[in-house]
Amino acid sequence: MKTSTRTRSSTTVSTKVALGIAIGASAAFAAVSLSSLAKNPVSSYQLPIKGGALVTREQCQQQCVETYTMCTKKGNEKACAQDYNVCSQGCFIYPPAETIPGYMAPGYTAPGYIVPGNDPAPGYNVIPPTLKRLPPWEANDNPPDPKTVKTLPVAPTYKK
Amino acid sequence: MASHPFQDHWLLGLISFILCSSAAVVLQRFSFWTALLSLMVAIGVTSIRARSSRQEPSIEEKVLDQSLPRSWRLVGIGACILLQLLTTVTLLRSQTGAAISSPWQMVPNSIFLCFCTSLLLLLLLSEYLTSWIKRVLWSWQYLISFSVSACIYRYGFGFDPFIHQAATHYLAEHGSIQLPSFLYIGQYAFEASIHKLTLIPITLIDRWLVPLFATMFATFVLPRLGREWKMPTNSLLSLPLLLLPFLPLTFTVPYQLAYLSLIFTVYALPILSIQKGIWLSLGLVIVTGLFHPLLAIPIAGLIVGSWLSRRSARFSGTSAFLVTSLGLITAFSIYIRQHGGAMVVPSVTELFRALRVIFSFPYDTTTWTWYAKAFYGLIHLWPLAFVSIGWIGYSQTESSLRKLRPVYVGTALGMIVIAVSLAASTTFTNIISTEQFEFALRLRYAVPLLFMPEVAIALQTWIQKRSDVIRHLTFLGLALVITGIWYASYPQWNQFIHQSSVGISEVDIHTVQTIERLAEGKTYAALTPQMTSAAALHLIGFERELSTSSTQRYPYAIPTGGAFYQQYLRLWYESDTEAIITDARRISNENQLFIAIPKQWDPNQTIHDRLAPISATTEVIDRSVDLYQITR
Repeated sequence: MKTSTRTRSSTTVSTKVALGIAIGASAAFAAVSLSSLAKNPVSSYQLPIKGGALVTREQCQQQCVETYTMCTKKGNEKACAQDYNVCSQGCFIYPPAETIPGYMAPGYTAPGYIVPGNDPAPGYNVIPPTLKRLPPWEANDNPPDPKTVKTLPVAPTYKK
Repeated sequence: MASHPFQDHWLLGLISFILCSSAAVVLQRFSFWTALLSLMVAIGVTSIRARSSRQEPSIEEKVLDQSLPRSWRLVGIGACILLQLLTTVTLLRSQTGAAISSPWQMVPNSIFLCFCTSLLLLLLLSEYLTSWIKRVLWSWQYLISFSVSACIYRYGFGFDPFIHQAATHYLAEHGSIQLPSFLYIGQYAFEASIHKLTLIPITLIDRWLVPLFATMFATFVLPRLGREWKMPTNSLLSLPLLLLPFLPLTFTVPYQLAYLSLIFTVYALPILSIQKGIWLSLGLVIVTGLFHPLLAIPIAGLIVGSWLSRRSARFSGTSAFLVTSLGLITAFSIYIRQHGGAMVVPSVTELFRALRVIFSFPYDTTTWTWYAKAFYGLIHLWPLAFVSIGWIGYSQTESSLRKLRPVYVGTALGMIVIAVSLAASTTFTNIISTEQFEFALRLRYAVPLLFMPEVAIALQTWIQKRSDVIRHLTFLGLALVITGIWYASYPQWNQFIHQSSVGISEVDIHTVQTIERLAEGKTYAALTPQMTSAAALHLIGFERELSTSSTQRYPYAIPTGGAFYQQYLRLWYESDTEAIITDARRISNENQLFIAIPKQWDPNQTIHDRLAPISATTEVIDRSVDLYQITR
């Protein structure tokens, strides 16, 4: 049985123009990509910072301090300190404390984005079933309020 | 070029293979020989089914459009291959053993330009390419889409995949594994059988199983169902896979395999509802149940509804809704009975809260720029737009297919109702507090999958009816949207979104190796960060365990491991370190204790100052982690 569903049989100028633009863009983007590839390969101890550039931890921290210093000159030290914290957290091999499972970071707004695949581990013992008939947000397994924790990363006191 | 009708013999063979392997696991008799037997059964089922299947006539694919000069085609194909090659090389060269939070931290932004342009070229060129070139190029594009994490994270990412890998390793090594329920057996049996038969390392199988399966589904399986959807020219049929954030297709855990089953069922429903589809339907429900029942039940709802739609369309939607909702609520009741938790009848206020949890925008956007709000706002609303496009697609399908509309809608409603009910009423005791809503959210995010074929139909109808200029602009729009979704499909760590998905780092590996060295073969318990525990699973699997008065316990703390992990968190919240150590020893029934604290998490050295004086040994691992050995 033949059921040809051909709807177009000729290539219009539009198709050639579209393809031409795409092919031209390909050449340009390929050149950009090749120049990125020409850089040194990634090392396990290099750290990513904005835009995918790779720097050492010391360079990373230095950049954060510089950004913080420039920021404070414009005022609003609190906002600058917050920015610094975000920046400096990216300079360590380990992600920041808010990634500790079970740890509730300040300002965390549940429920967060879903990352499927976090099923309970097979074969492990679990907390004995609670008989508390509470809705989830009042369950008693929430960690303490992190605002009361003294060991949270704090704003810097760097001075030039 | 002939387009063959869908034949289910190979799929029945695959299902038989998984079922036989799973049976061997249930009977605690897994070995190379049972894997081989499963393969023989699969080959037998495939050949018997192939013979008994009536050979339906093939249909001719759309005649190849030769109007584009050969030189243009060759240059276009060359440009596409060059960009795909560059994207692949960039991903592979960006591989790291650092503990990154998002794969995008490692790649240059130019990768998005390459991805978008190669996709645009494919869309533009598709109708001018021969079938095999089209398949090769699309396969490559899909594989790139699904394998960013697999390429970037040297040791893998997330936590659960390592638990499942360790379980599979244990099964392959010992021939049996004690599981609290039948959950996940399908994946363990499947991977362990492949390993036994091919000797491919389990970690490699596990890393690539879902990305490769998703690619195969997109380029070889789903297009074959085009005929059922009256889309004999079917390049666009699989495209909706890339039009929803597709994180579940990028790494392997049992739920993701169930996710693939659901996608297949949604596309294959027109053939599952007929007489010859009964074995495939049954097999799909059972195998998906062996992967993860959360999606096996909606699959059962779809299949029951579609069967009724052939006989009496009146109750097909209602039955799909009832099977899905009652099945899910029953399954969760059993789960809570077995694993602990609580279900309550929610108040109206709690229901509204649950609706907010399930559907509201999850991020605080007060400090965001307009473009971040626009991008993430669109990503958040996109599933709704997707369902709406699917709804339009329904009205463009043939009347025989429109009979299935109530089935999809009934199943979708069942999933939504249960998602909201779960969020309003249920507490799971063995799931950490930040993931209490995960089952509900999974259901909510799976609902748009039910509208995928209709989105493809709507797209094709739109493209066919428009002028070339509009068609090309549509392709450009699709390429841009898919590139944005590609970015959103992986965990992001940028100035707006902190959605960490940490991988095992070399530091974690070194920490476990140091603990093993310091322990000198003696037993120990370790309070470590989650990913160090994952590194332990990666290196030593389930070969170690501690005997406590009540149960066997893994020596490393894990977030779902209950009280032991809580002792690790207490280090940050309490200053009485001696009491924490005493409790950790009591819970683990082990005197030798190791504690690993990343320096980043102890910036003021408060914990260090408490632990160092009472430690027998203190080591710094790779300038990043303080390791304390505490003996009595």
